[in-house]
Amino acid sequence: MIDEHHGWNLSFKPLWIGFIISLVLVASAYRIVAYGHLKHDTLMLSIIMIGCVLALIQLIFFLHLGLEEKPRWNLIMFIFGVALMFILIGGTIWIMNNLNYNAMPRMGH
Amino acid sequence: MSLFGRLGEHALKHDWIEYAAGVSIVGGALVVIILITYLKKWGWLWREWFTSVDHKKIGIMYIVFSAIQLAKGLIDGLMMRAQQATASGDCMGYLGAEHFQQIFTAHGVTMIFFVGMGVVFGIINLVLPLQIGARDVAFPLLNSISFWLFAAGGLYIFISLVIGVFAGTGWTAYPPLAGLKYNPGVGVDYWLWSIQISGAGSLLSGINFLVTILKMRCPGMKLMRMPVFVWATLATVVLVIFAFPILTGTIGMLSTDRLLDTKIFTADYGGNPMMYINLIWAWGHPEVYILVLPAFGIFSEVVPVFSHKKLFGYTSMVWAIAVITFLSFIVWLHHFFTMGAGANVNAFFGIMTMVIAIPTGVKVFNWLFTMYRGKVTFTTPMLWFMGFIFIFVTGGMTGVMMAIPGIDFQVHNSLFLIAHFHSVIIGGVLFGFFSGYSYWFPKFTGFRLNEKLGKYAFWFWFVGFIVAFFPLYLLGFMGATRRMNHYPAGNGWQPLFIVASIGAFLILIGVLFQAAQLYKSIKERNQNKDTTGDPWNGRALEWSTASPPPFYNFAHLPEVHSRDAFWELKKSKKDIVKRKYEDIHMPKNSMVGVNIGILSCVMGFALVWHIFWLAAITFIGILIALIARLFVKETDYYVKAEEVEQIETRSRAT
Amino acid sequence: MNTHEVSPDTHHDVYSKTVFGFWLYLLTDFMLFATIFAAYSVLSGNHFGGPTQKQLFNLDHATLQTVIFLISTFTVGIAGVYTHRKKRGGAIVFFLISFVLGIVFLGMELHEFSHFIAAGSGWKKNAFASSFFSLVGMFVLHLVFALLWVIVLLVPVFRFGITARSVLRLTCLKMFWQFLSIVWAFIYTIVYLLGIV
Repeated sequence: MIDEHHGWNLSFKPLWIGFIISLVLVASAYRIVAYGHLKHDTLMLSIIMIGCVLALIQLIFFLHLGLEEKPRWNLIMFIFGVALMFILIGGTIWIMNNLNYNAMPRMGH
Repeated sequence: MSLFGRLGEHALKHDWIEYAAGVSIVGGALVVIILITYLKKWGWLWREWFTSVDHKKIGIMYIVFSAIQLAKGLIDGLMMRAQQATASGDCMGYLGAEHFQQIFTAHGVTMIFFVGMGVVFGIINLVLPLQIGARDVAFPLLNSISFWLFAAGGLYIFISLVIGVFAGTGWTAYPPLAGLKYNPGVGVDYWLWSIQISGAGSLLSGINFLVTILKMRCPGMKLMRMPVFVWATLATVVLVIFAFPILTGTIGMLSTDRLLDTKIFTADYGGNPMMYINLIWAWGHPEVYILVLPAFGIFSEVVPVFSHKKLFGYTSMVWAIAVITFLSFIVWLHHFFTMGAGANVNAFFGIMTMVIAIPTGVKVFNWLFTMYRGKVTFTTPMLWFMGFIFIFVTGGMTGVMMAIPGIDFQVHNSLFLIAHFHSVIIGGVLFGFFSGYSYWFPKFTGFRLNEKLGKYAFWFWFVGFIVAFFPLYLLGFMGATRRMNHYPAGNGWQPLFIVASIGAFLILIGVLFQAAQLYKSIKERNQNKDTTGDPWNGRALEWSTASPPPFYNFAHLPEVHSRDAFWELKKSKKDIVKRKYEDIHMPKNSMVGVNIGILSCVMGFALVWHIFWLAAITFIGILIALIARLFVKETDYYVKAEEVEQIETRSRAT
Repeated sequence: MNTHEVSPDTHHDVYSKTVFGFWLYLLTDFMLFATIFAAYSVLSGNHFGGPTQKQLFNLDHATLQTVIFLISTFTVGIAGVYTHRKKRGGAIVFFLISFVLGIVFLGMELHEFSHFIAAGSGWKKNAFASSFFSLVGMFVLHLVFALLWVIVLLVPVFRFGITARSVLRLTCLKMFWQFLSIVWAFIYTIVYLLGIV
């Protein structure tokens, strides 16, 4: 019964840690958007970073990603998946941007 | 809102060719139903096949369904050939334009989804658990559900021949043509639900097989000891898992465009039809590797056995498969070089497309090196491999040509492209399946196929393919576009189209030989029994079981110490220590799969015809079927050790 | 002696396979959302004259939703721990808390949808609105399934207590809820925050 009764399935601690950090992250995102005086590009980058960290925190502390014993299939498949999602979204943005520039009529560029 | 949505009498109106097709399909179905009733086999079919969760039975059902779809797809192809051979200049051929459009659309959908995916999942279902020394896949009930979703999706092709029309947009259904404004009718909706429903089945199968491979290998079967077919399957299902959701999302958005009037792929209101093409091919390219990788796996099993030599370069084979898997996700733009992206974008994807040919080349050389200095016997499975070498490699080379955007601009969407992908799909996927079919047939039926008829079938397919498709390379260079139902006279095309139709006819003869082979082999099965379970002197674990294997596959799970596990076992001449028999835990049959299949088929039909109350009810029905299953306690049973012993002794005695 | 052995197919195997299989399913669901995200990224500027994100989004509303869902994810994790500890009472209470918070979230989101429609940005109006409704609508659809799933699983737990089977199923439900929270993290940051600035 190794898998089910890993420490983290039975402990509240990782949940508390993840929850507090996530709240802090959401609060800081709210702050910099509502009250911050960052330059537009820095602001956008910060928001994206916060979003990624928020997701990562929840993956680690709630979904316990990467904490399983070897072979870490969950982690391996996840990393592969994330890479593909970046390729899909990034590739789509790159391609569609390129197409918009080259192939769409010049409306309000 | 009418009770029947937009379904009305007009749905049954067709031209005479469609009537003929509809009549033969309904007639054929009736004949089968009457035959089964007459032979009183409904109970048997229900108990032994439809509700089975046994991977071997499910695999066979996939293949039978695909064979029927192959017949339909071939007829579509023959009809297109007949039209194009005659419709030159003043002659308009016999098919109206709209009908022709439906035929080439249905041809593509049938062949790629319901033949290609069907034989892939069929063969994986049959062979995978046995090769890893497992008793079944990870989730047998899910396996059944996947099959019935696949079948439900496949039925729309036939239903649309009788009630309504099928899409006339080409198998990839690009908007804005496939959108609400330009195609408000039912055709595209049939296309959508056919693919959405069967796609769900494919996705679930992908998950099922991946868990099976990673979690259910028998003791000692480390990853680098797995047969290459299993590696190929592993790669295939990784592709399925990550690519199919893209299809789900993309055609889901096309569905909302059509059902809810959203403006995602429209030509106006800010929509972007080009984005559909981008997204659908982000799925579409991995899809073709999903189709071909299992064929590569099959050849990796067949070639060593019939060269009497172990596979050359196991490690490089595995690496090649892994590289192909990753690269297949970064080449997709080569399907639309001409859509207008700039040079940087085209150059990147062009280079990646050429790079992906390299690991494929590594595999081809490894198979050839396996044959080199081996004792090669040209049995039917080996002949299919030789045919693959010629046809797939030429197809692959034309692919590398088109990877160069400059060349692609000349031949994109010409018959050159058509010749290319038929070469790699037929030469690769289909020949691979035929090789596997001839190779594993004795294992799953208990008797051998007639070799002579098999060889005739091969030669007609091989020569027929060359005669049917090589002229298309020439026609492509001469400017002939794809999907044409008529062309001007006097430009030198017609003779080539006529030659191509002769080739199609030769392929038809090949198929008839395959049917004859099956018939004769069944008739003579008692003379051609496979009594040893190992008719070819095989190397992997499936050959260690009886033919056909008992429903639990292995009385004792094998313990493996090397690659080519069964071969090593035979070489060591170890006496199989007679261990005590054990109770074996097996899953019970279940009708959940059939229920979900029927409900989804009706739900899709209802959505096509806008019979929304029916769609809602069937959807709820699916939820109820799943929830009800959660409350079933007796889902498995134990086969008593005594019964296992009886089965084992009986099969060893023959 | 007639003690027959049982083949190695323990409950541990079932748990391990099922949780891994469910994880893979979640990865496919991530990929599905990624596809719709890709569409939104391309179309988010195509208002066709209709209202824009700056005019439609409300930072406080979206942030409140995010906090509510975050709490519900936390409580679902707690429910998961109680489940593994076989504590029926704790599991039921905390799954129900998540359920209620989920309903509140749902209500807030439907309110936002009606606001969009009233402001002339319904899903038929333009590509931005269509892709917004597709993305957030897909999230709502998933949430509805999760809510239904909570009820379906809690009924037998209420009647029969926590069995090995329910540990497995509730773990999958918990994972699903946490998956939704991660998807929402991206929706909040990329759709709402980036839309507002």
